[in-house]
Amino acid sequence: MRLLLTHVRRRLPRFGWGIFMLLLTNLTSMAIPQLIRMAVDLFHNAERDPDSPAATARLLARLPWPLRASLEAMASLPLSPLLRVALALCIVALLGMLFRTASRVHLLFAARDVEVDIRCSMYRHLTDLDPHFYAQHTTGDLLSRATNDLTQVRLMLGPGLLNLFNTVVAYAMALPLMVWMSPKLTLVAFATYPPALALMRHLGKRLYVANRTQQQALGQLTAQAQENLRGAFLVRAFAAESSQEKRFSAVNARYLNDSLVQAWIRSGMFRLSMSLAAFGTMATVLWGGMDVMEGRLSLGDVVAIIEYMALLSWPTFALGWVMSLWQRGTASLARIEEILASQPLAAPPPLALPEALPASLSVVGLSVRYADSFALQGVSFEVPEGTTVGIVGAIGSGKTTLFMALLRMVERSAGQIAYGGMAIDDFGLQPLRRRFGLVPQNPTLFSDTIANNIAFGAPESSPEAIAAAAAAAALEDDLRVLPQGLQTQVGERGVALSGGQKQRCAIARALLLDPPILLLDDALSAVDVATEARILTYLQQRRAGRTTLIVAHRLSAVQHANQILVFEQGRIVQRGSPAELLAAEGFYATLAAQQQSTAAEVSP
Amino acid sequence: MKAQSMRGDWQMVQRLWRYLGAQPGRFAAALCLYPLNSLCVILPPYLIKTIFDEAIAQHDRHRLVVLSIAYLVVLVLEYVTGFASEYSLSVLGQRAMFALRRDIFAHVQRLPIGFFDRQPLGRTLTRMTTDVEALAEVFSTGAITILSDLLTIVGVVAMMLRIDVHLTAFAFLVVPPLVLVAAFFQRYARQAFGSIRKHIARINAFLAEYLSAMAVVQIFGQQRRTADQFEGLNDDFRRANQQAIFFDAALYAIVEAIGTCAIAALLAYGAFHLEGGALRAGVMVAFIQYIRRFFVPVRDLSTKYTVLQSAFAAAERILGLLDEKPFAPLNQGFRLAAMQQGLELRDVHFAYAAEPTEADFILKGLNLTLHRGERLALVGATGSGKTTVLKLLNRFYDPQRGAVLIDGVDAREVRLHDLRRLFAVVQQDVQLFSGTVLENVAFCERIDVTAARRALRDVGAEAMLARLPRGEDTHVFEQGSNFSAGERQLLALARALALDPEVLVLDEATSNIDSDTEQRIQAALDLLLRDRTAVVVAHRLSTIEKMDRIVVMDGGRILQQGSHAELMQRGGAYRDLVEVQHTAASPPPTARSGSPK
Repeated sequence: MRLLLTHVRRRLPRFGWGIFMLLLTNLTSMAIPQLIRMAVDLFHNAERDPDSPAATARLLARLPWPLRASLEAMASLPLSPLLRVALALCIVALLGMLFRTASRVHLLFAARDVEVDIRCSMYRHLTDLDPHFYAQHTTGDLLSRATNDLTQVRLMLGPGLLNLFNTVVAYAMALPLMVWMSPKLTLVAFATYPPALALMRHLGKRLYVANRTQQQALGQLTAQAQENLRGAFLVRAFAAESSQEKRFSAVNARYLNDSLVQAWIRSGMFRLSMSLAAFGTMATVLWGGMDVMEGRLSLGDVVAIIEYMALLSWPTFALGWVMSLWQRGTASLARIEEILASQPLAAPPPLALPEALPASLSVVGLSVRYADSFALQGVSFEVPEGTTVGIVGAIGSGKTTLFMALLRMVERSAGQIAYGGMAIDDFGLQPLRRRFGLVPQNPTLFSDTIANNIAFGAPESSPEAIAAAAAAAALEDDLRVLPQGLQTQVGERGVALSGGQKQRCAIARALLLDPPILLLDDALSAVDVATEARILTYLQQRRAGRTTLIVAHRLSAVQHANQILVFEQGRIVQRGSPAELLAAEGFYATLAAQQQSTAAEVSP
Repeated sequence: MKAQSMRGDWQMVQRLWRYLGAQPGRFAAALCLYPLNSLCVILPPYLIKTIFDEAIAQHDRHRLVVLSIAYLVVLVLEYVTGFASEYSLSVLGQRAMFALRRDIFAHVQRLPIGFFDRQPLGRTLTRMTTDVEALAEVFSTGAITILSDLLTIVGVVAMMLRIDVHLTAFAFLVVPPLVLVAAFFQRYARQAFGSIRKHIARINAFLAEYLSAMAVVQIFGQQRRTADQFEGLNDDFRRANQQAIFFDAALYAIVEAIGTCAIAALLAYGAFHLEGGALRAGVMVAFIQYIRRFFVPVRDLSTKYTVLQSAFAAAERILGLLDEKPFAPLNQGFRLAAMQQGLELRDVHFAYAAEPTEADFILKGLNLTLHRGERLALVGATGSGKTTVLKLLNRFYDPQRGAVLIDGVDAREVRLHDLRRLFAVVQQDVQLFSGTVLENVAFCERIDVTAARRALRDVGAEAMLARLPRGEDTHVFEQGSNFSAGERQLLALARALALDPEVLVLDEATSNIDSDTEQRIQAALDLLLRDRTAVVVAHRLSTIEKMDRIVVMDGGRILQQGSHAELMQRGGAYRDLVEVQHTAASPPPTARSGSPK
């Protein structure tokens, strides 16, 4: 709730104006039944006593003060009293139109503003959260909070607040007027409202549950269809069409059933309550008619009371809707606040550091723990500036975790890492990460041009620099084939690149930064042997004297390294130069032997 | 152009009609209830007029009581018929949508696999879900009741005319401006809503992309820049919304104001005809209520029209999907219980393109036989046509020229289901479904639970199952993300083994697996290959050399074939390939000498 108040406070003038306009709107609405009352009685009088000034004056005297004053002010116009009422009605209608537009525009704009404000602050907050947080929340979940939940909050603030205030104001204005005309009829008119409202509220809750169940069923149906489409090949290969149809049929039937329950409540709810309220309307007509016959009320009074009831019917029954908006809105708000309350694990402690530090690394006793098992355990090694380190090991041996720990994307549970002799905790997160260029295992490209993807980490780069980075990553031949070269759109609405092309874009992205330390995380797995050789040659030439760490499965990628680290289950089990490791027994030599006898990739 | 699209709409309605016409009883009920409801909507104001002008004015107490009760009854009837008509229509519509979804799903199962190469998955999924929902909305929002709304409007006008022709004419002075205003604002509101949808889609796409790649954003230090970019998207979204809100609010307010002006018009008319007593209180109240009952459907008309429009668009897309030609009937042709002799590709020319040019052909006159019990490896560069051969064998595609023969019979003459049941296919990317591990192995009806359990044991998945929290009942996450690549592959092999197929097809089944896991997989593979006809596309020499015959392919033709030993002895493409691999994969001598730079 505090979150909401902060954001609402920012847009307070808008909300204030909206509510003020809502008051004015209701004032004009309230005037209409009074004018109709006046007109009906004028007609009635006219039938008996055509155009008697005295009768008109008496009728005028019964009107609430502002209306009476306005009509009296129009007395100078050469119009009959009825025409004056008609004119007043038109003016009221016009004013009402302006106020109504203004009130809705202000309140609904304000709600949208709050929605957009919260969404932007959510994204800013999300950019601060670490992978630990992202491991616990799926993208779908976060997306749903930033869109669906936020929509609920917006509905609560926009239509919810609008209707809530409208109901309160309408009742606050109409009830005194009705009681003023006839307390008895007012009571009669509203006699059946309490049970009608209670029913509405009860059914409203059931509708909410029915809606949720139906949405869940739709979700299952979608998931099932998606799975089937994804497995289109398998379904055909296994001749499993009919069992798939049976499976789908089951969720389809459940969705039908849930939809029918929802339709039953939705179609019935409002009408059932209205039927109850109809007793009040009927009673008003009946008692009102009796009172008119006995001369206790004028015809206009009865018509006005019926008009007020018509006026109040929407605000009354909208309450049920407002309640459910409020319920859903606060639940959604809690889900959004949960995200905003999540704190990143590491608060960056800024420390003044010399710009020029040697690009060396020293890792001592490094351990990283995920949940209940160690991803890294007591890892120590040194990387002197300007050397290349190759890192090999089976899947899950902790190689990627090591890189994440260097970048402080995961928290260490023990150990120290120093960059250029300074503990990495003394760097701010950004200053630390700027010293590295990472090519991740699964390269991510954004729906943008290839050039912008390469320049992702350095958006101000010149086109020449981008082209050079692309060339260094052996992308030139591919770019020539692509429709717009570097300006080709990739991703969702663009060209789908191959795995190897994506990897090389990611390599170009890192090379463009010209980072003090380059981290390649199995970054050449999807490129063929010849291209790999080209990229490695480039790296040897251009990054000579610079620090590079290479994780690889193919030993050809690390054969030139100064030092090889062999990881196994989070520990370094072997280290040494490639030649030393080849000579010794162990993972490296075994892998080398295997890769010799194995056609790892058939490319003539 | 317009007439053409009208005719197109009409054809669409006719095709969808089947689904509604299949429930004649419900349809008739809905058809009768709507006019009844319209009648109940028209009556109450008339009763009010009678009450005021005849009962009250004449001081007739008895009549007042009777008419008041009649008034209540009509009001309640209005709600009851309203409920009954709306609900019966919902049932009609939802059942039709159920049948439509079922038919689309069944149709999609019969589409050629090429369809899925062509169409993004999301698009087809949208046809099956969102588009059907858009169509269903026609029923749930009552947009289909536009006709009955028109009936109500006509009824209201008729009643007003019946009460007073001149007065009606006077009151309806406001109708032309109403229609103009509504048409004007709706056009802009529709455009604005369209632009909102576009912007929200952009916001969603941005979030989906950047939230899933947040690590990249953070490592490259682009938090602030992407946040600014996101704010820009949101600002556009906000502006689009402001337009829509303004048009919507103004339309609502103007319609309301015009309604009040109509009442003023009544008063003015009355003022000029005061002498005749033309405007009695009851008439006035009745007219006020009629005007309201006239305005509500007119105001809703636009919303309903929008729903109808998007439903038409959705229906067009759905029918487009249903018009996709199915590949072949699953259950027509020769029955085939088992394979006696083997498979043969005879002079097969094949291209994936629908209207291929010479360059598109992947296979160019390929002849290949596979005898029963023989195990064959296909070797060659990417694009040489290995995988294509696999897909032709169990008839995922038909060749443009030549034929695939099974026991000497053209595969196109054989029942498709019987043909495909001979095969089990294991691919590089393992497809797992939601459900338990066991359910994933017993993936189709032909595999029972016992066979699935046995297969899991036989491929050596026991150690893996023991590690899982609930063993074989452990739930598989979306895309099998709680299993490693090797474990997923093991499940796929169990699935194939449980089928006990006549012919086993392995399509790069072991490419993505690290050496450690491969040991386990290899044992399972050996078991699967024992005494079986098999076709294997593999990269690992260790797998290839075990096969009875190796076929080396290049550019859609066969270059060489024979056993590993024969081919190595003979020399040529295969031996070159093996040797190239050895040099490429092993560290060159420079590394051994220990001089890295």
